[in-house]
Amino acid sequence: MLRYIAKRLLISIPVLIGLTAMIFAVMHSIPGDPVQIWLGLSLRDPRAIQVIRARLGLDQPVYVQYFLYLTRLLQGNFGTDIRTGQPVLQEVLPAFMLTLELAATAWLIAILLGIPFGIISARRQNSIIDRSIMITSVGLSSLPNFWLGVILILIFSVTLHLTPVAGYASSPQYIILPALALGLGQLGVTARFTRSSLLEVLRQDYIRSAKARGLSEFKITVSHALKNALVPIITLSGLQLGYLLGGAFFVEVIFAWPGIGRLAYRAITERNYPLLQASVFFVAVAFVVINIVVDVLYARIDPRIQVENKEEEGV
Amino acid sequence: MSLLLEVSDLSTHFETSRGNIKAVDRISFSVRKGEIHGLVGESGSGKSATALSIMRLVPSPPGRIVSGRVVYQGTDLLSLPEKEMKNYRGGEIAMIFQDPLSSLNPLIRIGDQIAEVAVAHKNLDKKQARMSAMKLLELVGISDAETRARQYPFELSGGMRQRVMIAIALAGEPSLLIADEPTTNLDVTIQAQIFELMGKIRNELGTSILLITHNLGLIAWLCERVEIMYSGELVESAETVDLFSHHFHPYTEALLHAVPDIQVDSDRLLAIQGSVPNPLNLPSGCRFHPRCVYAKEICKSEYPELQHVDPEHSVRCLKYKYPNW
Amino acid sequence: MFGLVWIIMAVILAIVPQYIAPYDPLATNTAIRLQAPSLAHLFGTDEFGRDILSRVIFGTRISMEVGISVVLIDMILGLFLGAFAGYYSKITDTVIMRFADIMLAFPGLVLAILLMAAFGPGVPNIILSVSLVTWPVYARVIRGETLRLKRTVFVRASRAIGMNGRTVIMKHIIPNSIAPAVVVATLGIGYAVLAEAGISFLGLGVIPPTPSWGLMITEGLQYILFDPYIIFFPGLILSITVIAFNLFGDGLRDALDPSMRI
Repeated sequence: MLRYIAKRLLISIPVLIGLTAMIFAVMHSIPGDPVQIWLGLSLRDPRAIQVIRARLGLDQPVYVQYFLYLTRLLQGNFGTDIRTGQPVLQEVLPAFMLTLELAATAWLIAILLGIPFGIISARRQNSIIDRSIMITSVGLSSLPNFWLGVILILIFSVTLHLTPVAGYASSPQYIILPALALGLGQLGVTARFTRSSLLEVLRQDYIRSAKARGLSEFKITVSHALKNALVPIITLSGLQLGYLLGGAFFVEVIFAWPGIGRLAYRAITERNYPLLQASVFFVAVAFVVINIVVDVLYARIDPRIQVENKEEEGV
Repeated sequence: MSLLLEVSDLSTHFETSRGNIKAVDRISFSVRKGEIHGLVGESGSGKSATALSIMRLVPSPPGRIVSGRVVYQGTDLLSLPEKEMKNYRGGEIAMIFQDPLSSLNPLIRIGDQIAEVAVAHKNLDKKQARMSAMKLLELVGISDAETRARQYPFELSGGMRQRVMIAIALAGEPSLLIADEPTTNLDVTIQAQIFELMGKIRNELGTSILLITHNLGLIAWLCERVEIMYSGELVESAETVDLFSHHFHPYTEALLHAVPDIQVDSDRLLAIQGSVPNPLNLPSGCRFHPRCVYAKEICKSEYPELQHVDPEHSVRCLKYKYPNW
Repeated sequence: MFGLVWIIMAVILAIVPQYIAPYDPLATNTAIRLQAPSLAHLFGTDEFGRDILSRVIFGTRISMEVGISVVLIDMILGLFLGAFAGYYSKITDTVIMRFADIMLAFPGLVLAILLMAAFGPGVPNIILSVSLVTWPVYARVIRGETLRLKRTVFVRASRAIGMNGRTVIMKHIIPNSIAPAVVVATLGIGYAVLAEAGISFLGLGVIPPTPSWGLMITEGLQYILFDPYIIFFPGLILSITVIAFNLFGDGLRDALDPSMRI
């Protein structure tokens, strides 16, 4: 098991490096000279611009810049915010935590409701309940989350005055709408996937065997069927959390949620490279870590995976 | 000997988009206490469907038991509410299937799979159930039961898995074990071991076995009596010894001849000409007539009923209805 | 079924919006700005007095363009890369798949947004960035199918008679692995449409005043309190379109291979 974890971690390192390279490359392709943008059009003294560029290291060729960036990164230095001059980490970390809070809440909504609905749907296949749940799920998973957010604001904030329109504070009213906007879509996806996974399992021979042993309906569903069905569901859920981290982008903009998405958005417009880089980096790392956790969990639940891995290595 | 199971006039149909399939068509037979009873047929003959019908495990759309009685120790299983039927399944009557790998839950340790049956049917607590599982593993011939019990199905060989299936089946202390092609997917040497195990089960535990197979050698070895099925119906029913020496139905004859004789030198395998009839488009009259070497005109129009040629031997064939065939 | 009908309508709207839309989507008329839905303007008018219904209809074209182009590009990329990865040596496979993994290791939408920031606005760029982000999925699917097909008898036979790799891929592997890719594709159109809307929503997508559903939503945000219809209708049509593609994709999957049913 530990070997497996170590192996996964090891593989992630080149992936992360590749990612940073990719991000760096994209970043520096964004048109517009950052220095001029920061200084505004008023200051046009070319010498001043040169000085600032040199100070920020922007006059070096791109790969040199990347190399410097990488070395600093490995030392834990994420750079300084161009605009504020503060270490970028100070801004990014709290923003990241906020986004995590939002994404995690949305995620919980998706799985705590999605999985049970999926189970109910599967157990009553083709009934009215099943069809209604499925149609709703398709609908939910197709809605753009920013639009859903807007509609929710319209209904609950503007018309019913139940929740604040936007912003952040620690009380639950502030997080509920954005979390719903983010999470409802994934709820639909989870419900559909749970249903199909469970149905797939219920068709297997070992379920027929379980019935032949006279076990109770409940025992069969929970101990035999669910255990097997949950395996792909867990994989999906893990991936969903990562997806939600990314999708939070739009929701944060609408709800003025001061998370990393909003931060990154600002950074894009300001051409604030270090800030943008760090934000994106965090999201990427989170994503990779989540994927690894999912893989490990998967291996724990399905004992066959470890054997397959050993076979893979042998071959 | 007393009757353990009496199947009368059992019919199970499958409703498909292309029509109604009579998978089991008015089957009647009985199994005695302590007997190993064989049910022989090709694929599609309805033998598995018969077994599933007895256990009431027929997938309910599209299948349906349309008529008949399945009387087990005096109770008609078909009339029971589902809740009570559950008590019989895995308890009094147990079933093992053809492919032990797909029939065992891949994510549950085999010891637990055995134990849960004991808990469900024998009301043992977890600890007792564990002990019982160990004992059963030893009974079916799996050494090192302690270690094995904690393993998962994929860690065992095919033969061992089938033994585990048998152990699970025995956990409820059944009086009747239905074995649907238990050895078809196994190596020949392993097959022999499983047969011996079954004999042992009957001898030591007194369990009756309904053995479903297309392997005549197995029938000869283990079964006291045997039913031959074709296209959903019973075509011959006899004591095994009698069947091999005096078989009557042309299908039985063809089956026996299809088994190569080790003492005879021949190049070709004798197959039965033709193929199993399309259940949606059954031949008129006798269902076997298109493939029968003895067929005559009358076989196309008249439907043969099952008749006794001996007290313990019946056949469904016009050849024995009309003298001077 | 509903999906199919809606899609057909959408395609028609996309091809010839001029004949169906009652007004010119770009025509501004400040005199009638911000009118609630009425008989003259079924969806109301926006802040510049433009008829929302017409803009929504023209927006269909943008969405369809993006959706279909992205998926087509992805399919082609995915088909070739995936088939190559599955068919050829370990090295090709590892290289291509690692690259795909790196791309998948990142929340796609965010990457697309970044790419748009880099490329600049405009529909072609949208198509480019979204395709770049989503092709790995197709490559994965095709690769899986290729690996499976590699072991089949007819592929083995072709190789035995000396058919070279590229021919085998073109003649056998690609035609046989398309089916699951098509299912992914129909769902992918929905995703691409949403992606375009999201990108335009952030202001990084289409260039105003081109009518894009996403852009309309952003523009309408400031008027949410009193003139919510500006946001409501584009979003509604957007959602229905995506639902239609999803339903269609599901139906397609059921028809092609019932065992994959969701």
